[in-house]
Amino acid sequence: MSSELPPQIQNQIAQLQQIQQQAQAIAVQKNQVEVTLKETELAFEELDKLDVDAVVYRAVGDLMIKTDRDKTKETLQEKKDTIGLRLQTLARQEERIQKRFTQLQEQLKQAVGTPDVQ
Amino acid sequence: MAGKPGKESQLLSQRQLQELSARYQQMQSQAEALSQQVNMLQITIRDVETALTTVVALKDETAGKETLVPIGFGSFVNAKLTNPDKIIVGIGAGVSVEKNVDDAKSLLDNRKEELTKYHEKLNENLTKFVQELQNIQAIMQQQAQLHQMQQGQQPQQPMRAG
Repeated sequence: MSSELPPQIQNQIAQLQQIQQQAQAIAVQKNQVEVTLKETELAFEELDKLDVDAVVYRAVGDLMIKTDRDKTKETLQEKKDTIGLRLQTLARQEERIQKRFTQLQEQLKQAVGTPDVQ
Repeated sequence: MAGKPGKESQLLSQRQLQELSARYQQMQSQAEALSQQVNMLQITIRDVETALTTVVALKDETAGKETLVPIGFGSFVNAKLTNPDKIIVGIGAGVSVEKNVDDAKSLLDNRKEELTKYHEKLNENLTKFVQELQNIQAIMQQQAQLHQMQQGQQPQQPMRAG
């Protein structure tokens, strides 16, 4: 167990760990984006329930600026679209990195030669 | 390993023990994260309660009433109520909506209810985690005892001079 691993395998392990970290970072980002999307969707639904002439404020830094319902709905729709796209990108990245991880893992298993080593 | 810790009396292998220990650490950090979330929720619930109290208290006030508006760090500026019957409630994503007192109150009430339910759910989960952690701890303790006993049976125990 404590015998020195060949440099090539050490290298592969380091790569695997790096990829794992990347995957975790992406997962965290994706999670945050998902939360923001959910929040935006909820706000949009809430606006939908209001009358057209309802008074709505949008936060601009510390200030609240008065706007109307439809304008805010438009802004939120745009925001939803942008976040949705970002989510797709992140999902694709996640998938790619997952594939790379599995691939490297296979390579490492073969290099080590013992199939049941995790 | 899924059974009760009390009735299991065979020694676990080194590998099983390692797995158990890894599981314990993982669950412990999960439990910590959960506990943080529970605390945050508690703070949010208190925040909603503050808003609710204010909404209810303002219900009987008339326009023109003198009031103090907090600007942070226990400091205030003077202000006069102009529309005590209108409450502006945040609905997320940086958007706030003007509502009358009753609508604002019911919205806040709903929010509080949701948060409280979620809080209860998380608390339940946390309790389960803590129980499982205790289980693992018990198993590990028992294993340590078994280990000691086995070592005691072996003749390699050092003789003690009288």
